[in-house]
Amino acid sequence: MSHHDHPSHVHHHFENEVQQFDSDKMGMWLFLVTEIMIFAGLFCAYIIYRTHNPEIFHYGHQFLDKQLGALNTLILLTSSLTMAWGVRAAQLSQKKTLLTMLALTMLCAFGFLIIKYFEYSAKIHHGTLYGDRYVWQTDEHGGEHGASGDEAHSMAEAVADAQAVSEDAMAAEAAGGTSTMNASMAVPSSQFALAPEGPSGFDLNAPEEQKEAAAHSFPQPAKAHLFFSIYFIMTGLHGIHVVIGIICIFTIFVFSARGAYNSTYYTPVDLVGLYWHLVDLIWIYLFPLLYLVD
Amino acid sequence: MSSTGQTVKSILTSPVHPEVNYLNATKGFASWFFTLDHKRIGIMYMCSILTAFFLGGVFAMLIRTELFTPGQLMFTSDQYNRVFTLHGAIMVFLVLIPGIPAALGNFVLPLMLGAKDVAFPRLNLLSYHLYVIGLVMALLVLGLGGIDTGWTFYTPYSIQTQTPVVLITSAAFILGFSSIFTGLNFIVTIHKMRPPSMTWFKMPLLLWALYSTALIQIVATPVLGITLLLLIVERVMHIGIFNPALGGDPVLFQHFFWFYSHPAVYIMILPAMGVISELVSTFSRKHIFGYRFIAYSSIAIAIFSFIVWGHHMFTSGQSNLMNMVFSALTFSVSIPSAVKMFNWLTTMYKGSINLATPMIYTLSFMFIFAIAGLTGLPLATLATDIHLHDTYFVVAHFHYTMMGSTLFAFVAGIHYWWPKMTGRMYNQKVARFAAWLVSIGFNVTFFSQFPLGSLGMPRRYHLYEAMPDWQIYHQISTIGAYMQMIGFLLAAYALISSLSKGKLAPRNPWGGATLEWETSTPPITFNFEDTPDAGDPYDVESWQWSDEEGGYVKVRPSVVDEDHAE
Amino acid sequence: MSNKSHHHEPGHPTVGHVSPLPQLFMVFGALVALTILTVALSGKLPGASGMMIAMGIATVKALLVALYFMHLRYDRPFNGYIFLAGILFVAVFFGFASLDTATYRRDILPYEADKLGAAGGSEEAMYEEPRKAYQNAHQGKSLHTSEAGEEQPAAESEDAGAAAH
Ligand SMILES: [Cu+2]
Repeated sequence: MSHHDHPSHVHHHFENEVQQFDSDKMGMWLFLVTEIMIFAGLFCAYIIYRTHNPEIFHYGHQFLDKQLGALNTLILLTSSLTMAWGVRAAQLSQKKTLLTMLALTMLCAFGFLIIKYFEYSAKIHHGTLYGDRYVWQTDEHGGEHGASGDEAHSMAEAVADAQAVSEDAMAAEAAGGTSTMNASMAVPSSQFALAPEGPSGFDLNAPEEQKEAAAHSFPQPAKAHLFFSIYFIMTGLHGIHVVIGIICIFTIFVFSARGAYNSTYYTPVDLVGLYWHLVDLIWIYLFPLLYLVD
Repeated sequence: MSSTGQTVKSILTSPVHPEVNYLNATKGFASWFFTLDHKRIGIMYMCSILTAFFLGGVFAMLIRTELFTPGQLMFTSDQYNRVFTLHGAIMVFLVLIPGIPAALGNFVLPLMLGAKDVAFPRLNLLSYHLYVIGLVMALLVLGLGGIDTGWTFYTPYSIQTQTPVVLITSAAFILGFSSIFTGLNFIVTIHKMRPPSMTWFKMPLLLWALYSTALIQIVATPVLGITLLLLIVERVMHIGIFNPALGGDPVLFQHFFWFYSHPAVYIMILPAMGVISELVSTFSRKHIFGYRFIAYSSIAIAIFSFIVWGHHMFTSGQSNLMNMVFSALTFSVSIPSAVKMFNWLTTMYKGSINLATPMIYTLSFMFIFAIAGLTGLPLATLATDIHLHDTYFVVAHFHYTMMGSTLFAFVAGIHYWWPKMTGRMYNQKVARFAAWLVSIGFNVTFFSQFPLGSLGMPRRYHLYEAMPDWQIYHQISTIGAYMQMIGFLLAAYALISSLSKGKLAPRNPWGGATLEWETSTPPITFNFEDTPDAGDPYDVESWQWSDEEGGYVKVRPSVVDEDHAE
Repeated sequence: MSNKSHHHEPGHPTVGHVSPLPQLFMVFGALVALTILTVALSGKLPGASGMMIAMGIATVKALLVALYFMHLRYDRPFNGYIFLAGILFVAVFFGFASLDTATYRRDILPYEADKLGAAGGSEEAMYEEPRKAYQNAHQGKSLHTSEAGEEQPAAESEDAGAAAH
């Protein structure tokens, strides 16, 4: 047994670091295939429903904000760039650059999630939700949300359920909860310069026109809720992957701050990078499939 | 066991029974439960899987006992639904799928490669811990009264039932990842950890089988994961994708489910075939016949397994077009399976067959697998399947494949590597008698279900009072089940008692020529004193019987024989 | 074994391909440009061709990410084969599943027409029942939490409400 001459990061059962590096990398690629297969199930469901019920996609996608989706795509692409740059920095033992790049990647990831949060809030607000929580959209004639008492109530419940605060509740409840909601509603139009007309999906003042347009171009189909089921499950699972990615990147950030990686050993950075690029890659397909349905 | 009379000298210099081996190197619960040693993980897997097998077996006996009479004996119909669901779920997810790869594969794969360990020992341990979590969750479901959906969790019933479906599907989800990690580990290990002298075509056939299995585990199992995840989300959040009450498509669930669950049958059977390929050569004292054909047929089966899943849906509303396509493709799987069968038989031809316990199971396997394969044909044929679908004919068919084939190979493998694992020989007489009892009991149990199914007895039925003619078949079947039970208990007795009473096992009790027999018995923690040289894994002549040793000794390096260098 | 002959710099056996910065920027630039292109094109093209082109652009983007950011172009070919094999099985999965549902769809249409008829021709009413059931269950949950909790595990309580309708 000659493992006494191994560098410390090479495990005893490997002959040398090349074998270990190659094994780790191959293992990661195999894992990425399992990730692809997991998402394949969702894409398969998408294709089936898209083929048989195109109307729900045409109707539903109008409630998604194209600009925000595009912005999120750009954010993820940027994070992919910084991640690739980070791997390069690790390969070249540039510790400072590596730390900067990992921090930027995490920043982008958080930005992505924050925008996703606004998008989800808008859906909750309008009751354009999955399955039986979907609220039949009745306010295309310019009336208040939920003209009938029933729907107003269910919407309030749905909103409360998702820990946001509905208009009704706002009036009734203490100001503590409402301020967050107000803040979140106020942020988008000023913050996101990319959306010229303001992100129409969740602006409290805008949706009437948008929905009216929607109602005129496509009538509301019976199975409209299934579009939102697919939307939420796909973006939800992707969002979970983003969160996992943040945790992984944070972990290697801590390790690299301690100087764990250099040009002879940077495998974890490389592997997390691969994972992160896959998360990006899946979003590259999700964006046109969900937001750009025509 | 031919003795040449003259003394034979071993060319292996390492001690046969070193004082420190992997079993006694460290002590205590933590030294096992948190070990990174693939052998210990394999042993723990084996114990856990056999525990689950015992549990699933208890449910099997309850089912068979209940069906002895046409009316109600012990259970209400609701309880009966839960019993057969638990039997199926436990046997499939906790016994058959992890069985050979995780227990035997973990122990044997690095040894066969002459490697120190699998590529990712920590991932291997994680995979075992996930298995334990899955097992505990299954026990929890049991404590909560079980579930009544059948092991297939078909929607929309699985969305409506008030039994804890979320818990059991979460367990299956976690077990799926346990299985994925095992497969991932094996593929990387086989690619990257082979010794330089072992080319792809000098690999033992079990490794080809495990490689093909791992391929399926990696590609198919994630689809089960997402299917179960969607089902959980469906139940908790009512998204409606699989729920017709919300406009969803329940047949889509079946597509998703069988995209995994048909290949899963090959996760069970491929490693079994690998084990049989090893054993049949060893116990015939003959080089395996058609090495490359067996190797390629494993890969072929793995790939074919992905394009036949619709044969489970012939009566589920699947379209006529796809029924025909899937029926035709299903027949194609019989080609690589038959290739293996013919090669095993030809290997035995003119061999000197040693009817030791593992070989009895191997012969039963071949007999049973032949019936399993042939009864698959009427089920793949559309016209006959309409009649046979969801009857006891199907039950008999898949027990012939899943239990008779996979489980018999698993038990054969346990008996084959037991001396290497534990360092002890078990009582051959008792074990051989148990093997016959199990084999005969199996055929009594399940062969009677073929006519029963043809007569129309549907599966999963609790009562059959209206059809008194069926009772005799059920009774025969139940008697067979009790024979098997006694056989398995006897086999367990033979193995367990060997731990205290068995005589010390030699380095190589059976004369197998693969690398795991070259290390000590039991192996040392790092497997080999020196990395062994890989020759032809089926050059059984390189090991000769020695009376002195009470086992086979290696007399010359194994070489690639011209006759077998295809 | 192939890993004995490593094709990278012999001095640093584990340093794979180091991407030059200009290359990373160029790839990023192309990705951004393609994103803008796909947004700009959306809604401008008739019928199915729009989606086809959007998917084509997405695939080009995916290839750029895989080949350059994920280093596949410079990696061991086998890792690329693994990736391709994954895509192939995805294609099998999609192909067979959609082939089937494409043909049995015809059997479902009359059923759905019936359902629409029963709902008085109102699409809104077709799946109204489960939505109502959800609302009731939702209200019921907050009113009778303890009662629901006694009957079965908490995770299942909503199902009970839904099944009751
Ligand atoms: Cu099948």
